[in-house]
Amino acid sequence: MNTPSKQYMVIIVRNNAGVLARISSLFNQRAFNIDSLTVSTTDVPGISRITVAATGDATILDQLRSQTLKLYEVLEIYPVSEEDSLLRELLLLKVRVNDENREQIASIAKSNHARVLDLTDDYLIIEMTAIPAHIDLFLQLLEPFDIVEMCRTGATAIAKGKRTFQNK
Amino acid sequence: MLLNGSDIITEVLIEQGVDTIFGYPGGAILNIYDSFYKNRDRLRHILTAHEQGAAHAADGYARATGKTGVCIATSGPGATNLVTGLATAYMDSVPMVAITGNVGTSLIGRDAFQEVYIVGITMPITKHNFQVRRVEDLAKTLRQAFRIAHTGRFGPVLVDIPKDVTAATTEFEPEPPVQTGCHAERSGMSLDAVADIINHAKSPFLFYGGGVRNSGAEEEIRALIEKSDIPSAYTLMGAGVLSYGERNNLGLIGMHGRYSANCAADHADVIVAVGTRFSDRVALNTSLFGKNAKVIHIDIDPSEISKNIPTHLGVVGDVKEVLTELLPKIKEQKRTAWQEQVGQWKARDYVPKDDDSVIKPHQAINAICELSGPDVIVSTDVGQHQMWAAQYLHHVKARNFLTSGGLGTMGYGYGAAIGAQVAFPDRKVVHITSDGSFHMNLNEACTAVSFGLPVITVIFDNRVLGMVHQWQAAFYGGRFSASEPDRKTDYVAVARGFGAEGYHCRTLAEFREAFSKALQSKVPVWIDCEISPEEIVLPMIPGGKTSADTIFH
Repeated sequence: MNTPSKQYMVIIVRNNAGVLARISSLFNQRAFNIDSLTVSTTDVPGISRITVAATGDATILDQLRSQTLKLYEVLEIYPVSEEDSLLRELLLLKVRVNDENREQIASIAKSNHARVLDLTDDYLIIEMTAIPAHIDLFLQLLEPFDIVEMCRTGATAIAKGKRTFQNK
Repeated sequence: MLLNGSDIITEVLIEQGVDTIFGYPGGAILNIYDSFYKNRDRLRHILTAHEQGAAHAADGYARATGKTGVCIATSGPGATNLVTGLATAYMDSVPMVAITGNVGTSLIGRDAFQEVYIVGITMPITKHNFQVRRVEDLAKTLRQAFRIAHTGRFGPVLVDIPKDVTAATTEFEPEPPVQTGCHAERSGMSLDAVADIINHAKSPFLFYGGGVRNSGAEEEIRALIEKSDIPSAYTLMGAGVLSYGERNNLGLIGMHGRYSANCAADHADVIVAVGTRFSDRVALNTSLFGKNAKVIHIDIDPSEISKNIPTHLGVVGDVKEVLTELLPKIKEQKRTAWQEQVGQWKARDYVPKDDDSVIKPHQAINAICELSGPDVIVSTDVGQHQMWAAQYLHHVKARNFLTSGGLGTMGYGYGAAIGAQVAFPDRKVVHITSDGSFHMNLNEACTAVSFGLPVITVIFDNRVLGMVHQWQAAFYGGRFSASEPDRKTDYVAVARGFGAEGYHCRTLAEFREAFSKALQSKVPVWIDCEISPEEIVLPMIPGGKTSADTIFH
């Protein structure tokens, strides 16, 4: 019960000024360990969704859920997992290449369903959209090469099937 | 009707049942104060010496009356001066609405004169806060603030209003007061399961906190305790829910709580915690507290369940509603063996020694109770005197004891006493403080004098910062770092300087005489009581320990 694990949660909020500040302030105040956080609009005007990845034991994750839900602007918070939802994260990666390894890197990208977006003499920019764990693996594969810049968006998620958030 | 923002503020306050506000004017709220001037027959404004005093007064007013307290301050320093008062109210779940002015919307973000981002500053210490950027949103937002402050788990709400919004006009329609109250959606374990555990418990113990007061569930909790014959204790916030001397009222729980109460908690097979949150001053060691017990936790706030202590049965809901539903399921019984065991611990409870030749804190507090009667409202500051007040006052009503429990705000008491005296001009209000705490906000004496509020301030004057001093003596080898301030304050002279009365006492008889005179006074009175710097708060359980480690001397 008290082993830390990573959990993804979707937070549905009223899109008022300062809502992101309120949520990040709460996380910082209560020392919740956040791995990633994404915010976007939804198909409902005035309502935004936030996807957070947090690490903690069951008590901490439960606290994160119940404390967040107390914020006036938070309408819902629910966990999502790889089993019941589609989790996706975008990676952009800049790698310094040379004549020897350019093909090899491009082929690793291709076999992992990543795309080479841009190619100059010395640099490749790779795009990958995948579940976060795949991106972790992909980055491990490229570790021996010269990665000069990386950005990851953090995961966003949508539940499979007809399940959606309540306040539609 | 077409009104400007300032008149809308006044009208919404009055419509929400507000008749008294505490505050301090300034540039960004001149328009609002102009509306207060026009409406001075309908809305009483209490001008304090400092905005912190206004916030504490609104808090004291709210705690004493059960209504939402309202304070107002200008932008910048006026707003930041509210911060300690807001945090105090937030930690103790006090319903409050704070209004701050701000610079005009065109100046926001430009570091204008007296501009501060008070919404950002107060985010973690308010239940919610707003900045109103359009006059059209003003009435709606203020009503929402009153609703949020006084529903569910109560708390302070801040509404920040830029100056141009207070001048702009819009249509205003009066509305009835918003619906308030504790009512909350029920969740958690079934009450049948809860009743079953209580009914079958061999050695149950119950403790309660401020949630019982906020819910108005004093009668229900007394009925539960009596019907099931459960020894009980109060947290600082629960003082007065059960009366002094009442059967099954063991007294205060926690760090400076009664030995019997802490022993009962540590040995119980079932702990029922009602409207309380297992703070570190109650559950000093979260892994040992109630380690032998099944813990039943009844609270309105779902995030409190299993926050500090793992709960076996959590029930989320309004305490009064939950208890009302639970009571018929509770079996009437007498727990003879368990009461006998508790009686043995009670026999070992700490009893302070009397000495009439000096002023002993417990004897002075007894005298306050005896001379001022059960209807007295007592506020405190924070430290040793606060613990003595919690331990020795003859608490009879939850709303008669005003103290900063969660935040532990030195300087809370005078403002709170002023708020209570404004609410109840015909009752006695006593502010118990110390030379350390009183120096923080004694400036509010001018407020008490101006408004003819005969608050009696009893200063336990030991010439040291008592609680710090006590800890330095016990845990820091007597290295009294910055706790012996060597002040020369002549309280009698300062009181007179403010237009109040002052007395200086060295013995119990002198104190009784001074206090009796103070009760007849029409102006505020300060009673400077010399006590020994050796006086310490007992019993004490050091942080992280249990009842087995209780210090008695």
